[in-house]
Amino acid sequence: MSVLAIQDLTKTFGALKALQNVNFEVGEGEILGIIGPNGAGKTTLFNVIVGIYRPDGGDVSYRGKSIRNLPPHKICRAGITKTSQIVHPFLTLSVKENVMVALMFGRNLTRRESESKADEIMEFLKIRDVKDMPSTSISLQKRRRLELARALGTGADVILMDENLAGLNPKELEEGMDIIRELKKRGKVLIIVEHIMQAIMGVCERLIVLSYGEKIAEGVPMDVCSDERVIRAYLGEKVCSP
Amino acid sequence: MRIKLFTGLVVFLALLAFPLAGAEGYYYRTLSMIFLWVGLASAWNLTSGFTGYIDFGAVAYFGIGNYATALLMTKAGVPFFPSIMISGVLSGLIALFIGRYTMKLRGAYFGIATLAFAEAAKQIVLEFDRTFKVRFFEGSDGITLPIAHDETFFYYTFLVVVGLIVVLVFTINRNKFGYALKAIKEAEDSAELAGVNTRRYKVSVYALTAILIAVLGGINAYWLTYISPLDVFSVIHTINMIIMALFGGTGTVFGPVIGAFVLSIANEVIGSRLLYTWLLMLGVILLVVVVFLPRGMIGLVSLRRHRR
Repeated sequence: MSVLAIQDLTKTFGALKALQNVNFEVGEGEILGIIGPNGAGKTTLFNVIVGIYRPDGGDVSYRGKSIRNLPPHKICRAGITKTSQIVHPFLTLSVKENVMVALMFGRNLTRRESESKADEIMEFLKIRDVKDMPSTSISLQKRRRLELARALGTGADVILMDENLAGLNPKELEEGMDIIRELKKRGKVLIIVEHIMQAIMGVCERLIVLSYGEKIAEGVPMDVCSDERVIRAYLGEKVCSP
Repeated sequence: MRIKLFTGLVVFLALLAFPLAGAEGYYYRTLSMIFLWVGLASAWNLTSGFTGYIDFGAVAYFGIGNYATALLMTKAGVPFFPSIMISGVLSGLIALFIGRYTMKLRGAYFGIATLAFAEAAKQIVLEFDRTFKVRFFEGSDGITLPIAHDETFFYYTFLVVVGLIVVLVFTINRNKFGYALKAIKEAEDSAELAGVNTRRYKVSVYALTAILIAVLGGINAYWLTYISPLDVFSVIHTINMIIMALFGGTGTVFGPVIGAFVLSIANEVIGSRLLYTWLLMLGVILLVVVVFLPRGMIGLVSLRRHRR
């Protein structure tokens, strides 16, 4: 059975159809990549799945149960959360406290229980050295890691990553990809929106392509990126040879 | 943290022992007034300072507390302490209802809605009797309460209640509830994504603030023995709570305590002699604080600690 199933999902903003009858499924332990030009509806798709936006049509179901009318905190506790493209940490709280909030409320832990768990997560993501710093004064890379740390803190097993690797240098990017592979080993289901094709090709097992709110292609990365329509709508040139 | 708690305890014990020194009534009245403001500023801070939802209508719950206690005592013959507790519960229930709708609004819209609510509450109390041809709120005539206790009674009542409020804020600042509030203030959407039921926490803390403010209002009514809508629903009370909390430092435990203490004393010492000069000074002081110390007077202390 699929972990997350999207059926005929539609979202409009006034006259703009941000998503039109989008369908796809994600299975256990899978890493799915979503690519497409700016404005294709990738972030909107994420926001509808996690409950920030209400869909205008279609359904989102998690392990067989519809979650389309739940608020974000309930969807988070059910098992789905996301990291945002524009990072919004709790600024006056320390890095550790940021992670603790996710642990306390996502997993319903006490403050004390959340402290030791937070250390574990920060250790894994290599941000423990800045744990007592306010989240305003850490580097972009660490802020992105903090987004991920918060997502892991909630205990959700489906994590939607919205350009979590953007703006990183090659070494940081490589580390980020290693972390994604490690998360898969730990049983997480990941859906990744990314413009960096190197990262997408490196970690994703399957890709879907959105353009103007519609799914125009789906399949294994090699097939998708040699698809004529995908090249015309997004890639512009052949980035990979089959 | 230990030092703050210890200082607080010493101050509290000193104030507890203060009447033993046999001071005059004036000091009791002045200190009672200061306690009242410490309590009001702290209670206001709990919602507005911790979640960032600036409540411009907090005086509504002060008025509700005043009137509920006055009506219970004069019309139903309920004793004082049960009266203030019932007032608190009533106020909390009203806030649960109001908060359900106002807490959906963000920024200035929340401020405007709460301000309108407070003004509406004042008008209801003011015009209810005339409109419905009954005698209940007594309109602009106000209500006179029985005189029964001396100044030390109110001194101790305020001291204990306000002490409990400060301890409550101190506890919330460090526990899970407090983290939910701070997360909401910093990034409400991120808080939701982290599993925080933001609406429930916002409405809960708003109701809690309303309960505390109403209990203080109830004591105020019995203390002053005469209340009228234009007094106890006056927007100036809300403004005072905001100014005191801002001056001391919003979103902290002791900021509003310090702010209320300093400004109440300054108001008493300078304001009673040079009213207009004092208001001018207050304006300048506030400007300086907001521009140079956005975290309030308490920001000075933590600033020094960070530099060390």
